[in-house]
Amino acid sequence: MWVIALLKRDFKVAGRNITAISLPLIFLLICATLFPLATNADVAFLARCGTPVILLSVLLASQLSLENIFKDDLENATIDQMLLSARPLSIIMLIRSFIHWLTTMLPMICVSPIVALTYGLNKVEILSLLIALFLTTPVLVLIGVLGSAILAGTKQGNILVAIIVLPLYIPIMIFAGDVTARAKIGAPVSTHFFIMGALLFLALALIPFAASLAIKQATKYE
Amino acid sequence: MQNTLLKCLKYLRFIVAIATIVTLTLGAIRWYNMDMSNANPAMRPEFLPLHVPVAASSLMIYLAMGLCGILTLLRLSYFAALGRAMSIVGVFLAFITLVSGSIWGRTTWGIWWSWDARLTTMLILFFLYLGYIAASHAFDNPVRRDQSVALLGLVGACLVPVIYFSTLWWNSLHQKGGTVMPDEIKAAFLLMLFGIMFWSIWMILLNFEAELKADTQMNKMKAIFEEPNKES
Repeated sequence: MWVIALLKRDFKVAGRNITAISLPLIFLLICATLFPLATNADVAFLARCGTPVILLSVLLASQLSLENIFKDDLENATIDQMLLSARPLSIIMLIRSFIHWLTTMLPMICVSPIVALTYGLNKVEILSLLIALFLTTPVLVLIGVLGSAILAGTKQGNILVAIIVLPLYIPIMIFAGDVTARAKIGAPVSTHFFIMGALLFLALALIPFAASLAIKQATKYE
Repeated sequence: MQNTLLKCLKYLRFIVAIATIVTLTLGAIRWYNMDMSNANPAMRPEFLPLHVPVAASSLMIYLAMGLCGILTLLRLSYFAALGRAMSIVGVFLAFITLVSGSIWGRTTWGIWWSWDARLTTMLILFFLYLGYIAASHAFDNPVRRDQSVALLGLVGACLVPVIYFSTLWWNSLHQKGGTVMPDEIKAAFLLMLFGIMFWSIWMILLNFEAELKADTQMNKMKAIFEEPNKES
């Protein structure tokens, strides 16, 4: 029961922060618009690099909202209350990650097919991009939650989180990029999806524990 | 406790320094006189005794940092300072690996850089080191700094093999490890490997001592500032 209550509470708090939801979305759109302007908007070239651009825009946009994950809750001591409640902190971290994915990543996933159409991608490519995004973005969120938990409450905050977190994105990004490259030439991609799923479950299993360890440090010493 | 540790470190450092000088001198002599008639001259094997030991040391130091992270998370003292001392040496070695490797690549493959598995892993390792160092300067509270940075090092060390295997998906220009090395090169290579490892340990010990001294200085300052508050 407490899980559902916490889900509702987190969703309400995240849903009220309209800027935090819309900012990554707008960033994604602007990023994807700037790219053709920076090149010569050659149709074949855009079709070739559409999916990587969308993947990278989503990745960069996800960095914008990382600061908000724990900032307010640390300041008004909600995290301390959660610690006192004696519920497993790893589950609390998992719920927090899920809500963060729901409010920042899902809107971006919904918009990405439209962006993909402007780059002239075909149906198969858009479908593979969508599946890749659905498998990639939870990992991005989980790693981001870990990074922002480690650095929660420090002065430099956001930019430092990005520096720490971006190298850790590499394994999942490689497979996501390869999926789209293979979809382009019509090669089978299911193996890649399985590996990405494996990485996702690895992150799901391990990162909540590491994040709870980090957030405990943050409440204890700041 | 700390004074005895510092004294022991001094002796250890002296021994390691001598070992470094001996192995590096012998290694440099063997390296200079290396007979490369058996090796393929197009591969430019004269780079090998520098590039490979430096790369191996840099990788191993990151894994050792992860180990230090585990020990720090288990609340053993001194290992956090050791981890910080390692990160500076590691980032230097990673940088040297990238530079020497790209010069070697220019002479054999004709290009400065290729997005190959090993090169990319090394570059990512360099970034991981930078993130670790940046994070270790971000915290005000030393206890939290030690614990959080230890966690970060541990996560990074766990991810290094994953990053390596995922980057292997690309085609590789890089020379495969484990190919048979002519004896002449092997002698120089092994001497240089030990030399660079001893050198790393020497530098790590130097840094470690400095970190310990800085910590004691910090504690002294804190004691001075906090005492009046206690009385009042």
